[in-house]
Amino acid sequence: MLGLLAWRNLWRMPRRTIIILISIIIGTWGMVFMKTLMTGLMHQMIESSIRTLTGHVQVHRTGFFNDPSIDYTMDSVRDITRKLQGLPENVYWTQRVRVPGVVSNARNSAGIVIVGIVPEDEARVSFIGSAVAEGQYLTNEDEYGILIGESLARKFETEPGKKLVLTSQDREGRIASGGFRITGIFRAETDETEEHFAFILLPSAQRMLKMGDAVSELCFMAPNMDQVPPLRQWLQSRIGNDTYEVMSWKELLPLITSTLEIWDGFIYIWYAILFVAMAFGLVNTMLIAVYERFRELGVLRAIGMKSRWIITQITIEAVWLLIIGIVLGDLLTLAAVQWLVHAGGINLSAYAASAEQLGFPKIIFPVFKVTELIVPNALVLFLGIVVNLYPAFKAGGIAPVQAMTHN
Amino acid sequence: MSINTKIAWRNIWRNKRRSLLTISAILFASSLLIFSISLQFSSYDTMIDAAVKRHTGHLQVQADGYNKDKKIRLVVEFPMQVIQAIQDLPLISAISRRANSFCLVSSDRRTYGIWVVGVDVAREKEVTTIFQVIRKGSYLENENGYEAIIGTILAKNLAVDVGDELVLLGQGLDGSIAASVVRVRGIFSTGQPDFDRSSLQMPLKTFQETFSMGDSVHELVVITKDLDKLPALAQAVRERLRSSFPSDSLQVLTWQDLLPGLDQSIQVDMVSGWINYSILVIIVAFGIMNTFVMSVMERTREFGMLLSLGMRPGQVVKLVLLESTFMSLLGIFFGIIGGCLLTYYFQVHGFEIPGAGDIMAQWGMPSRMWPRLSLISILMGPAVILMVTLVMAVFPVLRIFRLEPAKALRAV
Repeated sequence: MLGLLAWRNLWRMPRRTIIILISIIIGTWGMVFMKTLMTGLMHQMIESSIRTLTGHVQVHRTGFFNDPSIDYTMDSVRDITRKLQGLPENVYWTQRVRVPGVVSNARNSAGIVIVGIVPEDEARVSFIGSAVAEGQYLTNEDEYGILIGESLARKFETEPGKKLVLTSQDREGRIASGGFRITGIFRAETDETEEHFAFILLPSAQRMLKMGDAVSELCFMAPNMDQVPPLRQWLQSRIGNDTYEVMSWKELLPLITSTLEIWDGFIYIWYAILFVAMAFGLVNTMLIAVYERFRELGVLRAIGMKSRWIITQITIEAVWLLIIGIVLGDLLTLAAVQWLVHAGGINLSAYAASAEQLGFPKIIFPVFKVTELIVPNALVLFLGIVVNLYPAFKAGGIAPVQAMTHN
Repeated sequence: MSINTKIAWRNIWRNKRRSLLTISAILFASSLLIFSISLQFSSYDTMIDAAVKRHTGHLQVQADGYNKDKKIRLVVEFPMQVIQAIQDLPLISAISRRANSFCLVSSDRRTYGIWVVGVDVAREKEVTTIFQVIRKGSYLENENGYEAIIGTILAKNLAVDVGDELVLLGQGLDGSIAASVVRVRGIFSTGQPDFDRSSLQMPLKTFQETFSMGDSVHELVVITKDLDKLPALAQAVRERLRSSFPSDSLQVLTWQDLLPGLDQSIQVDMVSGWINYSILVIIVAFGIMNTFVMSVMERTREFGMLLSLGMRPGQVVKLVLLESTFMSLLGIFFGIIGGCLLTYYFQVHGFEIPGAGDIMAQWGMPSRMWPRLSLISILMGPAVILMVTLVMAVFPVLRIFRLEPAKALRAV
């Protein structure tokens, strides 16, 4: 009954209702749309870092993470891999050598990370398997084959078939170098990645660096993000000890993890600011609605409506307003997201250098998740009801006689 | 005070609560904008300053193509003549010379490939702040010395300390093998991981000798007295170079050319900032518009009376607009005061975003932030809000022109 009354009251003054609705809709849209952009951006950043050799979980010698040099290698790989019996079948993993080195040709040199890979295992774990744009991906026969990034190839003015020399430090601390022939050129999301890594076969790396069959790291990919914590725990119980540490992507990418936390904090500040901006309009509108109906409310009181019913009725009016505004705001966001995805995302290529520096993808796609509506929507609804208590109690406190004679 | 002003002023306070709420909305939005814009601009300045003081300087003179390819043979052949040709330009505060080469740097135990920089020991202190962040040992002293300063992370990676020797191995200008042994004289920490991981600086003379460069260098680094006049300075330097060295292909690059990532990041941040501000302003604007609409609707009877008494609709509209303007101005006025107080407090004390230290360091920024008030940051936000609220006030009053006095008098 009160709900119906409140609903009718709203539409007695459609213009006022619509104006305040617009401000709630835009407020909700501002909150939710920002969140979808952040979710999308974060999702893409994490995804691309994980695919760029980080993986979901890594195992390496304790100390390697802080000082990724050849001093920290995993020596008894066979003993370790034996312990992987019972690993779920849908978890893929690979082993790698990863050391800092220098790549050079007749006229150029550059610092680089040399990565020794097992081609077919690597392809299931990281980006490189599907990133070769020119020439071929490595096969087990390419003993002297090397994959380099497009940006590096451009700087070195080189192409598939040409030679490159890799130099690094071997296990005994001596300078080791070897000649390789470019098998393929890969393309990555950023120029930085293209200039940062060069891939050769695992046995070639081990031979050049006199490592025997030692490796630098084991890298695991779970079927999805939810499986990462159990996988990490399983590996920890099997392999983790003082010598070997097991780390998930959250630990391996501390900068992304802390960015994530800061953005989470930022979004709440943003919610708060938009809500306060909305609240002024909301309270004012409800106040006006109350004062305009001074006489009417006085009559209701005089014929016996209790003051708390009036408070309830005004509150329900506000709840109706909030709910309609929130739902329409969410729908508007959904439409905006759909449209943006359809239009090809927010393209930052004009700001490629900045995207690179920030670690952003070049094209950002917003991601609309229904679960992420809960917090901003609940916030608006709850706080909206709270600030509306002021006009509601004003209305509840009206003295009948005074109100009926009021003009 | 004219009669209209007086009436408008009194009308505002006839409905105190509503007017105060409207004024508060304007106040809130204005102070928030002042704070955010002050913070935004000051952080850009900090970012530019940090990057410029550590790497690039405001302006560089290089051989054509060097910025893109960093080939050792692309040199400025007679740097001293170039310095002489431009050093009397009034906007220039300092010039230094640098040369760079990619090298293998080895300690007893480790080897890394990094860019080694030769710096003009005497002048470098005027263009960078590195000498202020030496954590161990001391800055370069001897122009001919076989000494170097390195970043903390590099020192850790190479496992060396002050006094240890490093072997440099690279390629000279003439294609010969360049090798040298330098002693670590100082270890610095800029707090920027990338820079501290990959920086080794040594005296320019020693560098030129090692890499068979003669007197040539790769970069002339210029610091200006006035960052705002940088484009003019770049133009002046270009003209001087064209007239003094018509045959040389020298290039003048500003920090925007040298650090495209930084410049673009600022642009991206500006755009996203403006979008956020617009959303905020629009929400506030609708709230305010609602009050204006209501106050006009509510007073139909009053307007009817004024019209019957012989006031022309234009006059009534003027009166109502005067009221809205008063309210907006009051909100803006107190908003500016509030915004300035808020911003000033943090300008003095600074504030820290918990947990943001690492990310800020990545950007070469201190973890504490200080917003800085400027005329632009104080006036820009409030000016936009004033404009928007005045536009919002116009829509509802148009109704007054359509009122018929007799009917309006009987309106409820």
